Amino acid sequence: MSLRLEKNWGAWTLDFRPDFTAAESGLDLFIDWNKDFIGKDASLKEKKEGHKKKLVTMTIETKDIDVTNDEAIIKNNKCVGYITSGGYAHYSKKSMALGYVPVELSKHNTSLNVEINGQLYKANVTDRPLYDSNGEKMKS
Amino acid sequence: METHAKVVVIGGGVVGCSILFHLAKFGLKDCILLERNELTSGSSWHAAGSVHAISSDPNISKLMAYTIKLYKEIEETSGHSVGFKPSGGFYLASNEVWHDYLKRERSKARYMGLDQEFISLDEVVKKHPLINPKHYIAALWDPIDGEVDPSGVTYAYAKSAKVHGAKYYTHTPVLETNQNEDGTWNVITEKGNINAEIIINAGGLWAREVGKLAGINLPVQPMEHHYLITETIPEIKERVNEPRLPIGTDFEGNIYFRQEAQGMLLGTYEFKSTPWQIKQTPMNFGHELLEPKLDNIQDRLEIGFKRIPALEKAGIKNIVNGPFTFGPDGNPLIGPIPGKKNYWVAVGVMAGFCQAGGVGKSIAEWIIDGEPSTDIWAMDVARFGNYASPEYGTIKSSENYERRFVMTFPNETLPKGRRQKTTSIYDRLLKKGAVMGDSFGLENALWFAKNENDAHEEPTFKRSRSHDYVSKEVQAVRTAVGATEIANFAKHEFTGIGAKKFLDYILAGKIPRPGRIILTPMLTPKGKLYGDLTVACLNEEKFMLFGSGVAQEMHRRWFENSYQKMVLYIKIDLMNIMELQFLAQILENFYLRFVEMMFLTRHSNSEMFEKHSLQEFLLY
Repeated sequence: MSLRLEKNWGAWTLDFRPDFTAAESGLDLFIDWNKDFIGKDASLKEKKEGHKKKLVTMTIETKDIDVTNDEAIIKNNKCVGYITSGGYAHYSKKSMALGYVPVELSKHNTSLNVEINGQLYKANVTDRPLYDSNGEKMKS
Repeated sequence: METHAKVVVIGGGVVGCSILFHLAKFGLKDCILLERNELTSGSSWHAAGSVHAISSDPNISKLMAYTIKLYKEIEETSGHSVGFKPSGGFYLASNEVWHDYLKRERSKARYMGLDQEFISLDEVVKKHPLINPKHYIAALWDPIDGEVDPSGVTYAYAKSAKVHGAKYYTHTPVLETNQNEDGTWNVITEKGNINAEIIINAGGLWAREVGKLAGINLPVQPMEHHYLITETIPEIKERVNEPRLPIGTDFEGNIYFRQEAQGMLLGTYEFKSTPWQIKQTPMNFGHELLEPKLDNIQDRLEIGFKRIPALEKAGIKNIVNGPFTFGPDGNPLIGPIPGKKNYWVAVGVMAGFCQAGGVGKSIAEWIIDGEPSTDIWAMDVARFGNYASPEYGTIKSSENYERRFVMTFPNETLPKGRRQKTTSIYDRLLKKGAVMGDSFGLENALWFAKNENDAHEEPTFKRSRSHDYVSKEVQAVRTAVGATEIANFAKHEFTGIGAKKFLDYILAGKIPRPGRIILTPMLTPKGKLYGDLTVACLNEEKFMLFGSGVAQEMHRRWFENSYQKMVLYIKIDLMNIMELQFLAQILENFYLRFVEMMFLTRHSNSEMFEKHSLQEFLLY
């Protein structure tokens, strides 16, 4: 569960679950819009109207602790989401986490706070994977 | 009694009555609840009645908060008092570990919009002067906590259900549940038989026995549980015109307490649990209690006396030892049983007065809208597979009971009921120093220590001893090579000439060409994620789907339900009555039998996905 973090990949039951839609999770990338499928009407409607939250990957500035899921994500003293999964990305040497935040807070480099064991840590949204950002190694 | 109903709920405890209420309130009036004795008989009537919204799973917490807020509504609708006393409540930490736990709970509460806040120990004593604060270092306060009258709540649900148009019958034991060829159920009672489209087992103490009537073995277990009520305590009697004492939980002390009349109620989850009636719950058990086993709770009482000294002088008025039903992980088991059409359960709801509202709401939404509005994965009966036998249920329920107030760290794996399934290299992985975890009954390597003796984890909220080991594994994978066992993926095989068309419809992504593999989301009609699956096309008529191992049964249930709908569409194409009967037989006990199904569709030339409702079909 470490390697996926620096690739911005989510996991089932944690980051991907029926509380979220394809567009919110980013899995809409894999939708084939040229066919009929269960959930198409709702997904098209969402595509047209836009979605409110978005799954983001973030790096967290910590020394000896990582998230273990369900921590609050804070912006300007207000809770804006929760951590769906995370841990330590050993190769990139960064503490990382995934979570859903309002779309306006999902841009690259947005700074947020994550509350771990009652303490606030700085977090930074990274929309490109820290490892092999363009996926070139997968194609090689 | 009626001879037909859309839904029959079996069991008139707090869970069954809440389901009946929610179904009727959300518009499904044609629902009947059957209770073998009186409402509340079994375990609902002897519950301690404290209500709170803390749970290991945030979505369950959310539904617990919903449950508490619902009490006003059912009291108003029914005119029956639920006896809610909003005293507020606190969770007390006596060491740093539990303090950390409470900080994490508060963090969860922030997201759920709950108002939990830390209060000072002075504030604790002010709210509850009987507590000796020197044992504690922190307290988390939740203003929505309180207590209810368990019988009042159950009747308020039942009467509210009646107001909304549903019916219930007491003294009507269910003798048999038999499934018809059309998938409906005949519910046999002494007072007559009801043909139901859906039946819901909310049997509580008798969940296992009701399940067996349909050939289902549920992994739940009634557990003995003690609480005691004291005589009048002078310090409480003197509190005239003062607010009621808050409810309280002391995790390390393993006690919970609240005010009861002018005395106190004190309960504990013994470190040595006592499963009750492992084989089966006697049918003649009703409004009864068990012989108290004071020896089992003596050590917890002594802790209680130290932490609330007034208790020591107080006489004991009543000791309650009453059984109630647990599931393997302490959370309810709810929803449709995979592979058993139209059979639903809501069992193992050990905290009924905190959770039944949320359980009823979720089940009613699921039946009426096709999916619950909140993901109830942590309660879904499909989170367990066929490894979860009744024996597993007894072992794990006992473990959960004993650990109810024992910390389980995020990196901790629990020891009981392990090795349900192992792969052929299990022994070799152990020899290499694998630290194992279990997922959906299967043992899998989490990380590798130096050797077998070194293979142990250190439970903590912080980085553990595994950190450096995993670091080396990651380094090897990124710079050299690594291998991983992927036996814990769920594998679903689809074959037949219609397989591609079926997958094309249930999966949102493009179905790959032969020899290719792709990742695709699977969505619900409302556009929610129901799976992220990898599809491999072996040839035009053979596909393998790989998905999350724990979601195996959840996905199987989804495939089967979608499949049934499609077979219905196919039936429209078939004019031959013989073939219709054959299809009905397949439906009876199929397990993704695509070969047979597609053999039949070969006769049909018309569009497979033509959408007709059941009524249209019957008129055909």
